[in-house]
Amino acid sequence: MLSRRQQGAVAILTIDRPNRRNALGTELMQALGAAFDVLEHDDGVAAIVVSASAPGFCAGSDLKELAAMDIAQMCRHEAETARIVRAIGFLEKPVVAAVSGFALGGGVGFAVGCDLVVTHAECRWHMPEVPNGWLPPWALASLSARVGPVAARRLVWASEPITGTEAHQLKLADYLVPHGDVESEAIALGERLAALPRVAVASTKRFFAPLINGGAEASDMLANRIFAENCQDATAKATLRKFGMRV
Amino acid sequence: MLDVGRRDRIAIVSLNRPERRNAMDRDLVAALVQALRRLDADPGVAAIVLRGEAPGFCAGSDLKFIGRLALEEICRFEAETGDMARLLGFLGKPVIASVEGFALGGGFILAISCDLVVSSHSARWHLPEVPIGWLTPWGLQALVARVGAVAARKLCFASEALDGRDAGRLGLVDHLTEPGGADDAAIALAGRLAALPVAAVSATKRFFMPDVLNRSEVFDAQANEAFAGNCRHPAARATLERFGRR
Repeated sequence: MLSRRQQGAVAILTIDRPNRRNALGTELMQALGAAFDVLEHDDGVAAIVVSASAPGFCAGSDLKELAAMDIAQMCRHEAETARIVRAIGFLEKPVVAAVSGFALGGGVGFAVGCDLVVTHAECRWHMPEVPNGWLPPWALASLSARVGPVAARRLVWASEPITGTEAHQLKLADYLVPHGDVESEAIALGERLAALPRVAVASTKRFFAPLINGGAEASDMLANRIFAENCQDATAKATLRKFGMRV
Repeated sequence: MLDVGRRDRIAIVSLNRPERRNAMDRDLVAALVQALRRLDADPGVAAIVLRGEAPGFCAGSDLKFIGRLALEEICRFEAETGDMARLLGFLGKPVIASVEGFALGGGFILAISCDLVVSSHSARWHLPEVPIGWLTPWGLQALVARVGAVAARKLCFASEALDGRDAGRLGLVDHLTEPGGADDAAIALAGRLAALPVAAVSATKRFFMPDVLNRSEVFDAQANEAFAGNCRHPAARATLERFGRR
């Protein structure tokens, strides 16, 4: 589900649910939340890399798990996922996302919830929520912090999927590297950060947190409410039924 | 002056004053407001494309028109134009600008007040207001939302004209096309948006509204006041007199 290994002062968390395309299920989110908590208080760790097993970084919500929920339960589940991802922005230690293959829906939200993002040219970045019938229920503040509100809105409208190259041009991703090097480059970046004076790195993260993550909680709460409204719409319900939900 | 056409669920609004390079006077602004409100209320319309008939998108305020007005009248007209541009952001439906040829002054700001911007890579983008004597009197929040405050200020200083490619790099333009291709690309984009669930498209626009438009009304009031002050200075008066006499 989630494995941890260590390289020098860099801790590497690897999402390992390839059969669910590394989707953000309840169990995985709990494991991630617990792992961040442990790493934050581990003096042997100065930087964290979040990576994933093939085929791709993360496909967003676990549709199989959603199938057993009603709309209210799904909204609560998304709010809990949002809370765990928001907490990344308030850790003292920098978190690097190594995004290979694809980042879809909540997978995009999770990636931009990290402090630094490494990807490759052919990587598929896409938010399919609006085509499904609803506003994404969280992560829009982190998205706006990275690309500005106008480009964020364009990405959310999702009238076209984008490549890693375009994600990098938009500043959705910070580093563009060859496909095979995404994880090793993310770890190398983690090592460079780990080699810096820890208090200065932590102060830097803390100083910018109000600008980057300051409004994130209110933004997530509002998005979750609009998401709930949108889910009552006929198109959205048709999609949810396709997922297997009884709505 | 203003043509409104339809293609399936897409409304195509065309500025059509080619003899004035599609510059805006009071009648055109009023016609735009009326058309936008009507299209927003029309359940058969899912997306709106705003374009200009050749030779270009829009040359901004019609200086020949404002050159004949008293200063208070000019300021009132510019405030009305600003109200119209903010309205683009407050509609429930997405509006896509299609820019060929040029987007100058108020035409530049009108284009980026739309939700999405398609431009040919050769189109000329320029804010010539400061060189002719005044601060751009409206729409600066739209500029800040797209490029940030520092780049927005630089664009207002107007030290250089941009082409579509430069505008794309800065984030002023979302999609670049070959010259002559902007309308097709804008209509295709509008078609993709029109095919998405209406409630979710509208919810997305509404969700980002506070960030995109947040202080736009106050900004417009402040810019209008600065504009009025600037217009009393000799450089601006010389410009207005020159155009008013034509």
